[in-house]
Amino acid sequence: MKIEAKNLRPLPSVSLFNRNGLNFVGSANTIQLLDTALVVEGLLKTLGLIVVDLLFRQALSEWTTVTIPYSRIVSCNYKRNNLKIIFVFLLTYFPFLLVAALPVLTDGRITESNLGIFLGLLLVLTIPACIAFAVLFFVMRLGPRVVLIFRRADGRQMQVSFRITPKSLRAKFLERLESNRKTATQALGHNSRLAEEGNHR
Amino acid sequence: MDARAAADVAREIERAPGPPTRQIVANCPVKRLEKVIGFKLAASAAVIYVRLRGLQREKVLRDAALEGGAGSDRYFDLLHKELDYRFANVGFHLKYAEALVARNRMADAAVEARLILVQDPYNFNGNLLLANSYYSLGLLRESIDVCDQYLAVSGYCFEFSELRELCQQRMGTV
Repeated sequence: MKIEAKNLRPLPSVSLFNRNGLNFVGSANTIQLLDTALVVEGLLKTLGLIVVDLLFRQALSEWTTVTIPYSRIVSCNYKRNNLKIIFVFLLTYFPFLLVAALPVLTDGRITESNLGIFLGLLLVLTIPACIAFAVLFFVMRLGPRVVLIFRRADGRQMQVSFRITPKSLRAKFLERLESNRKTATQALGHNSRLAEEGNHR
Repeated sequence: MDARAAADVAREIERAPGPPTRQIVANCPVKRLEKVIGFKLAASAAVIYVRLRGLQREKVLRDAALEGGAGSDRYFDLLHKELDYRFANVGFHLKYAEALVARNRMADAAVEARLILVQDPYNFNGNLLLANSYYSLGLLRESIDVCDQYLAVSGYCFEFSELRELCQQRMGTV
């Protein structure tokens, strides 16, 4: 099974400062579910620069392949990230809320006049707050994603995040991945039993 | 405005309390616009560079396919030249290592296969190539080790099991 580039969008793992994430960039990446392993092919960010990243991500990347055997996959889940989205929204909204609350805070008590000013300001400041949140949402790419956690050859846990569209394809991908993982686990168990029997002989 | 009047204005600006001339120039809207345009140009240049690299990669693959035989000198040189530039590209690296095998340069192929595994440790073809190269070179113990390592993570790969058995037969342990 191959997820083509048009159905796949790589997303930054967890945060911009996350060191355990494999960050694929661009719109030409593909994922293949082979019999032996899951293969991710695409532009992998090799050099990380905090602000420059936003504009020159692809120029700082190299075309490469990452092979992940099914037995090395720790988990693969679809995450909606609702809590994170709400947290970022509240974080964006807080300064605007504080500005709107200034008349109330400076007066020391809530009166009809400052409550009116507060509500009016809150209504006016909601628009820039929403714009700021939308910018953060798209820059940080907070939307729902498939998060794949696996162990590298040196034992370190790594993470790859991506979005698969449409929904039916994503469901099929997760189902197939789970079945391949089960088969891989069974095969490893069978192999270890054979090795034990060989040792006893 | 004649030269004398312009000099007077410049002198006045220097004397006047406030930011120095350099700061005034930096805050000038035209200069700011230049900065923005420069920034956008740099971003556009990066996008063009990335697209160019992608298209070049495809062109090399097409050229290599057009060469026909994997054993030809041109095909080999093409891959060798590209590999210096696209060192992280596992696909190119594999093709180069396979070209070395086709030329019966097994020791070089083993070296390249090991380099592939530095980039992508669980690459199926890379591991198989390394194990086969070791087998051809008579390094049977090393070949068995590679097979064992891969079978430890992908137990159902019969290619590695068979190669392992072949090595053991040759060593006389089975």
